[in-house]
Amino acid sequence: MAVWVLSSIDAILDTAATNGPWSRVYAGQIAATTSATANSGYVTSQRFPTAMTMPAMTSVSTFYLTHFRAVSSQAPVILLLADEYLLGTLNTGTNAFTDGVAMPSKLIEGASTQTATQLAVAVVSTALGASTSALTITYTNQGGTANQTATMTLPNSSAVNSAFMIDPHLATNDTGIQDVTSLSVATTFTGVVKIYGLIVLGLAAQGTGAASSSQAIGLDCLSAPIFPWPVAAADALGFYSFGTANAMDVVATIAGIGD
Amino acid sequence: MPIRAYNVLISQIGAGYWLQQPLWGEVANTPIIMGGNNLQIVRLGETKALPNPLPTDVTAYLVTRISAAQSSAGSLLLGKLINLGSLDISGASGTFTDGSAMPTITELGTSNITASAVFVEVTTALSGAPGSFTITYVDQDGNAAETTTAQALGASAPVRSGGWVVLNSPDWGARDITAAARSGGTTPTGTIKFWGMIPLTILPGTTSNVVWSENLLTGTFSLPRLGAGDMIGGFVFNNNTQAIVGDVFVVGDN
Repeated sequence: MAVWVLSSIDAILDTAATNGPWSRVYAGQIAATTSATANSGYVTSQRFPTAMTMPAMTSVSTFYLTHFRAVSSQAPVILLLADEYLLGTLNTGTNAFTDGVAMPSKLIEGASTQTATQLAVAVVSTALGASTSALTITYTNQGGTANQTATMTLPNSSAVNSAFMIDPHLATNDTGIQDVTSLSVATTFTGVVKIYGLIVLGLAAQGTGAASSSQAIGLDCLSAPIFPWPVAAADALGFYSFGTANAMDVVATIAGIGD
Repeated sequence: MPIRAYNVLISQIGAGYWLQQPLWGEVANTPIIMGGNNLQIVRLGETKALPNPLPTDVTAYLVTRISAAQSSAGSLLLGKLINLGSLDISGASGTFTDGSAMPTITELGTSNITASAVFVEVTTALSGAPGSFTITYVDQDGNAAETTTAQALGASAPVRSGGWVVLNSPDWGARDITAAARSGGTTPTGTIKFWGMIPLTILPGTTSNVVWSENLLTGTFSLPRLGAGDMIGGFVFNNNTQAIVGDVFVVGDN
């Protein structure tokens, strides 16, 4: 089944007139987090605690992001808007694993296709204890092979909303995760860690020297294209930053149309 | 004709269903950033109300382009502004004057009550020890109204000072503000106003005195329909004294 709305500019104008676009202005704030290390994703990242939930859709079944711009109080930084899936949760104090969802099937090149994460992150939702240990993530990889493992050690005393990239620690030749099937730490310590699978919807880069005046650089999703992922009703849109662990505010505009 | 095709857009323009609306703003005194946040946000000096009533044969306004140049670099957040209410901070706890709720519009085929981040603006200069403010709001999901933590008002903040209101986690937006109050301070005086927004774009004004332009139609496909009397305005992300000039190009739908 083809994606009708992306067949022409006229189709986009038609759905905007008939069904209405969806647009929001978002503001979020994050306290200082903890920097990544070579054992925990390499690239410092943060997850903003306030995610948006896509509304119900009628007459259309999917949403395509067409516009994402963001400014932040920190620079340089990359801001990322993602379709976000909670794949699993681990209480590191008890080693109790709570399963989440698997990555969804989405319409890709005309066919319903099981997706895998484009990025996967371990997010601290309760601050970690002063002496962490190795975290083992057991997962099904992008090709459907089960019982693959990734091991990483999150920094001691990691702060809430610190996000650590799992991708550098996936098994050799793996590029993504379809599902997380278990989580555990070698020795328990205080804290809760959530594993999110991300499909990247939009990026905004804020360069050096722009922190005080908060200058946005946005990448328009269709006219400067990145892949137009279909987003479903009730999907969570998560905001992430890459490149700093500092406290930060972000304001973003988001818009798109339905198919 | 309804603008459901590019050729119809062109024919609407050819038939004269277009409007070029100047955009102008000035920040005369160095504003103070407040609201409990780090990001510098100052409302532009002027808003532009779209013609009211709608002209004959026009059912909605479609903004197709925004351009602006400014004397101090900083991105511009532009959209339809909604007055959510205001607070005279004087007296025991201030006096709240209710505004509008966020509008209900058809989005993705569904009638939705919209929500927005909440921006605060000083409309009458604040006194030297103004205290803090809270708002009570209905969140983006329509849950029972809740009150924010107290957020500092800027001492002697001049008109245009502002910021965005930090809502209770995990909220990102509000459908409505039902109350606001001031606490603390010493003989506080002044007025603040709360704004919501249906956004059009963030215009990346990374260099001063350069015209930045956004094609909303075929660049960002940010296509909300606006109505009679809707206010177009926005915020600049810096706290310098400055002036901004630009325009908004609008085409009439029917």
